[in-house]
Amino acid sequence: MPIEVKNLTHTYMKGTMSEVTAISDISFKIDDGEFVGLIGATGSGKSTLIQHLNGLLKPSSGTVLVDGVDIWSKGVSLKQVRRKIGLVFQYPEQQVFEETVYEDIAFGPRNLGYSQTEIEARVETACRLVGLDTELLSRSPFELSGGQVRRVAIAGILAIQPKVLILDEPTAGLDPRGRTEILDNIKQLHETGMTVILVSHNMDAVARLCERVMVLEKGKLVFDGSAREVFAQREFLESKQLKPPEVTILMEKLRQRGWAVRNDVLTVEEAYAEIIKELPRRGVAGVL
Amino acid sequence: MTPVDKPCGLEAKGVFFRYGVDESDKVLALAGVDLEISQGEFVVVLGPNGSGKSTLAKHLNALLLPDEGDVWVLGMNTKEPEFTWEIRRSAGMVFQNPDNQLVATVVEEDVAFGPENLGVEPPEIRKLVAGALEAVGMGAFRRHSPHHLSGGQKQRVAIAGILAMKPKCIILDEPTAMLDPSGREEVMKTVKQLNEEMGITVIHITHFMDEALYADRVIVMDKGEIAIVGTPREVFSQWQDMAQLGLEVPPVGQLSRRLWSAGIDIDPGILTVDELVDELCRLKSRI
Repeated sequence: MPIEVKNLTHTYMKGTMSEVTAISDISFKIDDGEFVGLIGATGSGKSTLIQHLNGLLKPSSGTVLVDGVDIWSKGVSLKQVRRKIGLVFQYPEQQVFEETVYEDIAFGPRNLGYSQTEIEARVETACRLVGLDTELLSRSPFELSGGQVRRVAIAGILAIQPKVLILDEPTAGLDPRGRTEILDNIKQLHETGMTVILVSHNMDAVARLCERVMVLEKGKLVFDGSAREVFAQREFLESKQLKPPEVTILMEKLRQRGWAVRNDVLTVEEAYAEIIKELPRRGVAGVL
Repeated sequence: MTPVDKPCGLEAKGVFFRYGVDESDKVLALAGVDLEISQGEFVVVLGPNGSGKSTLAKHLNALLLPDEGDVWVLGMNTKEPEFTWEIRRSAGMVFQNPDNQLVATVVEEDVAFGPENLGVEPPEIRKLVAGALEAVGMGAFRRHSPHHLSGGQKQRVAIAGILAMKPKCIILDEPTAMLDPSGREEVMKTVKQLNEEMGITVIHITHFMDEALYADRVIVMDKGEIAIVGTPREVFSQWQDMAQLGLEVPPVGQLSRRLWSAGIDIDPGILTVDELVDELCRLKSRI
């Protein structure tokens, strides 16, 4: 179920004094099973863009095609589109409102009119996907930790069983453990075949998880390519208020000092492999 | 600025604090905290959610009072009502969400809010506001509307609002949590500069391990207690204990230790890019 965006422009408050063009003439296509990172400074248009992908916002001009069909053409049910493309907002726990965790996760499938048995099965699957203990289902969401409530909110979207999952800053405000858990869950969801679009300020996470990265700046798509390619371009990123991972910067600095190491490493593991082959060992491993 | 002895700094002694109204469902948030912070220190507080970081911070400017034990700010006990306002003026607090902290429609009015409330004379307020905005590098924006600033700029305005009250200490509770990478760096550099150039004590709470590298001293909290204290190097060298709390060593630190374990002759405690580059080049030059 590919998503294709053609010449998309969105202008808020069109025709008024406060008219703002939030995104401007953006085109791209995302295929099934991709893991795309969407990065850009605050206010670059990331949230506006993703709200077009499931029809929450209507383009001022341009088109959004899901499975080859323009979602704003006559006869297309936006409800159907939103079933296929799940969007997890920033701070989704603010939208958790039911009395129990179960009811909150069941809200989506119940609204779609599924049977009781089907709803139960979906809630259970969604819990498993986000690593949420089913014993928590009878609890009030308001008794849970920040990371747990975030997972309840994501499970609520997964219970709709979308083909595409879009997450807007899913780790914002979580503690390090909560961050790691959520990112691991997202990675696993992608491995089950789901298309994932991750909006994040966490460059290390995007570098580690996403194959493809899109960079937005002032509403324009200024880069669309591999994570390796974009994170090796430090000056370009810094001009967009972004930053490569620390280990990538380390490689760049070593190269400036004459080291023959790659400039496009993204993880500690990769950096280690590059450095170790250039160095003499101290003797027996781990012993001074 | 060299740290001077207390009573100029902050001190907590045997502090216990419980949240909740009913005796039966009270939650112990601080379980006996002892802490001394000297004037001019840069302290970073780490710890999982619910470990008591914010509760501790709120004790340091009398937003919360201990159930047991005492907190002194510049020698003033926070339990004495007559000191409350002076304590809050001298130990200002910056919070996570910049949009909830800015109240005025023009940047300089926002910064003037504090000194106006303190009853400072208008000519003096103008001087304080101008100085505070210059100190955070926002002088050029004084007539702008705060709503059109970036996240990092908004936080710097919030910091200026505190500076205008001539504090001795700034307490920051996850001020970078909602910012993009350059906004985070902007805020951290600003805070570091205020610490180094004006001698302001900084207590910075964060979930970003790399921000701990700005600190003179790192405090790691767990279940309402101080679990680990030391320089960033000392704290991250206890990586197994840190991992237990879900706190990871920053990537460069992980790499240094990996290289060391593999038999490379480097200091496993290195945490920053520049240090590691220098160390690796030194090694290579010996080949």
